[in-house]
Amino acid sequence: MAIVFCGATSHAIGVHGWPQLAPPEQRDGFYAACSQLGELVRQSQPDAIIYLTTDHFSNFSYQNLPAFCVGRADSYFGPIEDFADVPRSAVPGDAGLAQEILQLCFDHGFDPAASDFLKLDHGTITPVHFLTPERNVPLVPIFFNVVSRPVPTIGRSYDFGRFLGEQLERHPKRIAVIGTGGLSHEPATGRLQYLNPDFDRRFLAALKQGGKEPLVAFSEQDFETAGAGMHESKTWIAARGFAHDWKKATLIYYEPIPIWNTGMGVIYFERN
Amino acid sequence: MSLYQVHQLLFDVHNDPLRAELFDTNPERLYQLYDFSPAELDALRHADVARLFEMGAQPLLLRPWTLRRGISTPAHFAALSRAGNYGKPREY
Repeated sequence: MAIVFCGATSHAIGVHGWPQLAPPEQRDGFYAACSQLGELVRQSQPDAIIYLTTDHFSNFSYQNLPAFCVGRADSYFGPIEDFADVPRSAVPGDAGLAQEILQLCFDHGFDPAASDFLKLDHGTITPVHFLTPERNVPLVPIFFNVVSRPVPTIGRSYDFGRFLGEQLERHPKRIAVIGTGGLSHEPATGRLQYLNPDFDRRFLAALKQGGKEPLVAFSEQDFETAGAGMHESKTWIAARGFAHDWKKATLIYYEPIPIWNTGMGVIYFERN
Repeated sequence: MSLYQVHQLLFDVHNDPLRAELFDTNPERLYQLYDFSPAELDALRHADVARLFEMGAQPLLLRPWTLRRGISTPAHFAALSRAGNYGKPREY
């Protein structure tokens, strides 16, 4: 059993950038859900954590925007942002596992980019901070392009995660998987604080149902309607792909938090 | 398609400490490193957020830049909401 944990969580720059502006019950509820997720991750005793994550122009520019990029560094730095309550420091990377993932991908029809130097912004550091606050578990970040169209489709994201899950199921290391991003939001545009809770709830129900079909029932246009940032949820879809055969899904938390500009959710999957 | 040059400037000021410092101290010198159209250069010089949006500038890249320019959050988003299509970049 190599995949020892699989789940997903929203991230938002406001979680650490302006926590005091969120309604206390919502903020504390999200923090508690992340703490619970962290306990579960740590109980699974992972040797490494794969973060299915997104970049906010901290690494990739319009010069080169890979659909998927596997981080292959021994160490990362983050966050790039200056938050009062989050240390800016190194996070260990599992370069060996990353190289194995890349080889598996190229041997079987997926062709992600590779990078030996990546910075981590709030998108990855938010879950790192809650799940492994001591930063003592090596990670492999896999970045999804969600900022410039075209972006990976719902189906491709699921297939990518399912493929990786099946391949790594035989890996000798204990591997945890976390999708991070979404849910509905429209970051940095004139529709700031636009959220779509109804869509979020339908998406979460599809995610809980399991399998690819309920997810590909959504169109890419559906995601656009839920806000440009909804594409970050492709990382959740890939996480669900990792847990393709896992029967149970537990939604720990969902609240739309407009001041954080994001539908905030936390979910995890179990085999039975 | 010279919008690429605007995006690259915004990206560099966000990520490259040396170019960020040059932006703070001598922006005209920094602008010379890029190949802007006259309209782009004018919008950058005047920190015209709404015009940059209408040209198609990516909001996730514009926000760190306006923060560095000292443009307040309300002023930034007021400019975006004046732009067409809610200030979404054209590729959205």
